Amino acid sequence: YNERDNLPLLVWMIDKYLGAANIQYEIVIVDDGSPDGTQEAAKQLAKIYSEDRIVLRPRPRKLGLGTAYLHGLKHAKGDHVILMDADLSHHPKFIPQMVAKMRSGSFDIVTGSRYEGEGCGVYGWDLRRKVISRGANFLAQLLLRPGVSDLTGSFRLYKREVLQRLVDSCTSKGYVFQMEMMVRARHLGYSIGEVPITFVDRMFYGDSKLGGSEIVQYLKGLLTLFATT
Amino acid sequence: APMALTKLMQWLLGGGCFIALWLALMHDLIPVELTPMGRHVTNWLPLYAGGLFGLASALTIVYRVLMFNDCPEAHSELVREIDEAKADLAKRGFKFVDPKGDKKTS
Repeated sequence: YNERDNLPLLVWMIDKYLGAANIQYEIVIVDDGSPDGTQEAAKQLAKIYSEDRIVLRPRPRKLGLGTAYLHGLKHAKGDHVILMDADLSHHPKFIPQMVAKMRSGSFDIVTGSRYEGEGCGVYGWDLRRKVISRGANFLAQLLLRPGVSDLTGSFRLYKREVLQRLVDSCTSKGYVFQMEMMVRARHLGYSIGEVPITFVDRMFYGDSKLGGSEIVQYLKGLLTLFATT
Repeated sequence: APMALTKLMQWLLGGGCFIALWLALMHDLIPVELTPMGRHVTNWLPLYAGGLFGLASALTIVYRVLMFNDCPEAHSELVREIDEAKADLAKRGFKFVDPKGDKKTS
């Protein structure tokens, strides 16, 4: 939503890194009626990179992340799907690494981890944010024992049918949705590999994404997963 | 295969076992010789266990915060690539909208 400035840069980087690794790709752009010209940017990109590769499937208004995934999935032709943030906090250079990891380990899912592995890291988090992040992750690991080091991350590679099944069965919102996907994946017996990633927080310039209400929502979601899975 | 017990049920089961064991010790149902110190610890076991657990948790979190990987080079690499991307896209005919001093574009 409102990614008119970041979208062309993201597409350029995806093309650069996937092209270099010889990975066939298609980018499905699900725009929720952004007023800032995101769709115009996408149309220009489709002209530059070919309409086979840049697929624009907008929606009339902001309708939520889970349904955006479903909507994009309906229009995706590939047999593997990457979900990632559009604001450049996720760097496309890790996609070939995820693909290699999935091949070498025959995983159903490969998730980027900001917390574990050589070369992982985050840029732009102050002490408060780090404490909250570590505390939240500690609690989630303790309660859910998920077998995945970065539960709330959203930079992941899925086999197509795996993603379809997970998105159909998950119902939470926001951070908790990402957690629920991993927990359900484990319950359904899917194998999950991890690749260390660097995360450059693009909300760095003052917008705090972690206020009191987000924390409460997270705890509620965590306890719900604790009690139901 | 799906788990038969939810995590909550596993914790309740585990907690129940712990409490049952502790109550058995408290009521001398288990034939075990206890020193005065052992007796004292047993009487206050839940408190000691809880306190130890809380301390271990806090130390773990502090350690992980201190060992947090900051990656400034990822940020500078991104900034450089953004400039490279803008130049290349402009060459290919992409028309950028003037950000008007928007802080979020770098």
